[in-house]
Amino acid sequence: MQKHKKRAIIKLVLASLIVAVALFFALVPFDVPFTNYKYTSFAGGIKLGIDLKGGIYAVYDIADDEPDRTNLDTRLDGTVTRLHNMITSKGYMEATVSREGDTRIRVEVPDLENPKELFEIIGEPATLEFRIESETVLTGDTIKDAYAAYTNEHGYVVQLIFDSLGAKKFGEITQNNIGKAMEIVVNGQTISSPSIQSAITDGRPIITGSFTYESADKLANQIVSGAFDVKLALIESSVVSPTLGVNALTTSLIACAIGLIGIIIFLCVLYRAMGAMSTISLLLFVSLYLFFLWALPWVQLTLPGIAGIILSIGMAVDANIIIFERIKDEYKLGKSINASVIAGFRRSLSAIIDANVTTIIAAIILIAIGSGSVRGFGITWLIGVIISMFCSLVITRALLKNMLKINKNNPALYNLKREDDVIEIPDEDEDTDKKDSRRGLFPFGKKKENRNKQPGGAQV
Amino acid sequence: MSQKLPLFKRDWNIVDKWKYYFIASSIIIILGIILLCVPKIGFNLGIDFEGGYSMEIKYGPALTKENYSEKLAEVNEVVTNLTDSEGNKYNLEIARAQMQGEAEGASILIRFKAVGDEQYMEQVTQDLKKALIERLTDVENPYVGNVMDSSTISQTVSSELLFAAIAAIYLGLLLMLVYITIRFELKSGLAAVVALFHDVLIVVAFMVFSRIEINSTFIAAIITLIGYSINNTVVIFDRIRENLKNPANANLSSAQIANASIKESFWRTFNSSLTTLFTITVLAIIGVSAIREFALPIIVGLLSGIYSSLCLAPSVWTLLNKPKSKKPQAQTPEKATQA
Repeated sequence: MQKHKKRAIIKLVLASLIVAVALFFALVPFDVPFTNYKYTSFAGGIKLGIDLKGGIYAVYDIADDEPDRTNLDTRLDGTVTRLHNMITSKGYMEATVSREGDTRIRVEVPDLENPKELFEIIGEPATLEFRIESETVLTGDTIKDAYAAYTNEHGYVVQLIFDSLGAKKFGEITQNNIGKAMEIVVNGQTISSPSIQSAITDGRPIITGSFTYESADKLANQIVSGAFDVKLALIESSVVSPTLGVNALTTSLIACAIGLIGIIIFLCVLYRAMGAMSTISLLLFVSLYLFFLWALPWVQLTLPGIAGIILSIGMAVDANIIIFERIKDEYKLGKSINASVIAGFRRSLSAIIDANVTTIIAAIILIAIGSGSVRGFGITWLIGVIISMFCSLVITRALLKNMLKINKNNPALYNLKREDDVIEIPDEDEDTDKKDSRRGLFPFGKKKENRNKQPGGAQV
Repeated sequence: MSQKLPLFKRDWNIVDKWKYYFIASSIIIILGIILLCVPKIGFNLGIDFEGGYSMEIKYGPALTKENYSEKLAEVNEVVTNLTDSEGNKYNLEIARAQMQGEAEGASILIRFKAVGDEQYMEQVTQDLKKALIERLTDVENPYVGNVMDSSTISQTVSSELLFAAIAAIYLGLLLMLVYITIRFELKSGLAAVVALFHDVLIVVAFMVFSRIEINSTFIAAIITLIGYSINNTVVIFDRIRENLKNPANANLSSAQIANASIKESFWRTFNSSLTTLFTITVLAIIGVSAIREFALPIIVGLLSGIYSSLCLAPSVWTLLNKPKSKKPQAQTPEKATQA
């Protein structure tokens, strides 16, 4: 017995130490000794959106050589949409694109992966033409998207994607000209002239040539901007401070810290030793969460993202509160502490799983059909919910089991109280606990013995 | 006799008072929707949705990251105190301010919403330019106070993004209905979705009443709310499901089961909402105004969520169960008549 106790104490101390180390790596930046490497901490290394950290902006105007000056308003609106799609598809999920003045378009993106280069390329749009026997049969106006791709046969190529109209036309042209050569002309220069082998009806031809990844990517971007309704020229591009003001990040972080401390006090006052165990698992949750936000490439933290973190913290605690309240209920009705804890975890499981699955559904929808910051927020949230479920169901449980090995006879330690007139239920083995032997809700409800006929579906 | 017992020893009669909830919620929501439809009241749409005007004030090397807040405060003073030639305030407000460029190119870019029609705004922006030049021009530093002409700016949230978000909300509600129907039953699913929709509408009404600006973060706030608010409802329905399965409760009415389940899950709901509410309230208190714009609707939504999961959702569930469960419950006298 004493040996058991000792081992449990050692386990708890070890767990706390591990969490302390994890928290240290998550939050504290330091210089790695004997090297020039600066460790940023998980929190410090998270990529931040333009609303919190600022980024790069660019202003475009209609190019001087744009020949068509009619209907500019609608065409500029269309260009804004296409530009926005193009930039978000390059991974700048938090980009804002808006019109400024009568003819200008302003773009703001976080400073990641050198957006300036992309901005410049957009300002050098390329015209794309397909010629057969020196006659232009199709232009790039109907291109929906283009990107660099790799094929075993040709190395790097530019993958074109036509919209439905363009795909139909391209299909007809290739159908009618099998065997002939099709010149692909960019900015007046022929870059390749493959012969048409068969009809291409899926609207996804490729341009081959001696491309590197960089040159294929550049040409793809130029072709996409060449398909804009209006030809754009880059006017200016420079750095820009956070859209939400310079203090947005600091204040949000302070709020997170205060919130976390408040939650920990709350848990420890209300649930004492149980609260202490969930505090350890909560801190582990924070470290793990920061680690994933730092490690996953597509996370760009924005203000809604921070709120997502706060809500995930709140929900991580929720699961524990649900369990602890259940444990209190079970103890109230006469079970021993040990049996109450076991029953508390088991009986809360279905509620926690259902609550979290509904949240996961919400997050997945955001990722699937949201765009820009909405999608980023969904990702942050999803990661949080999954880690929080792991922490509250696995970690808290393991910690609490060890805590019980240290002391399972003092209800005050866990802030557990009996109901006044309750008869203590002696510890049953776990099997009987599974069967529902509780009394009904109301004393006047018809008393039933353990008949354990369970109507309806089985529980999880 | 039950009146003398303390609150948590008594039986609760929550779902029996469903009429009050329906009336109270309907009044708030209908008032909100009416105001929403009244022209010139509606939502107080922010610059992300409405667009407005921008003005760039060049500073050059005199502007650094360190003194940006100071310089911005000066600009802000000019903007907020701007008056016409007769001394009437324009009530102009900076919606977003950013520092852009570096060294020689450093400038402050401010954006503000229109306070009148186009013609009027032409006057306003000219006055603003003049006032800023007067205040900021520095003889020794030729860069400072070079104010560029104001230009109109469009919304940054495209209608497509907005439609995608609204579609996301509807799809979210639908899938939750499906999930809860599978895990519980259709009536629970319907009741939960009614409660969720209620929370969204309450927040919408709150935004109309409070005149808080609605910007792009509002979409995220609403979706957060849906994802979070469903939790409390699921916890209550989980308790109801469990109590329904217990053979000892076989001949209780739906109302009795719902009432007892609410009582049993009250502390779970209350405590778990409290922790989240606390954190988000801290954020609202110390955060900058854009953060407050985001946190306040969530706070209202969380409060509404506590109410709707404890009172509204179980009431709807009981009402949906009513015709079916009325006959067999005859032997439990006084309770049955109330339900």
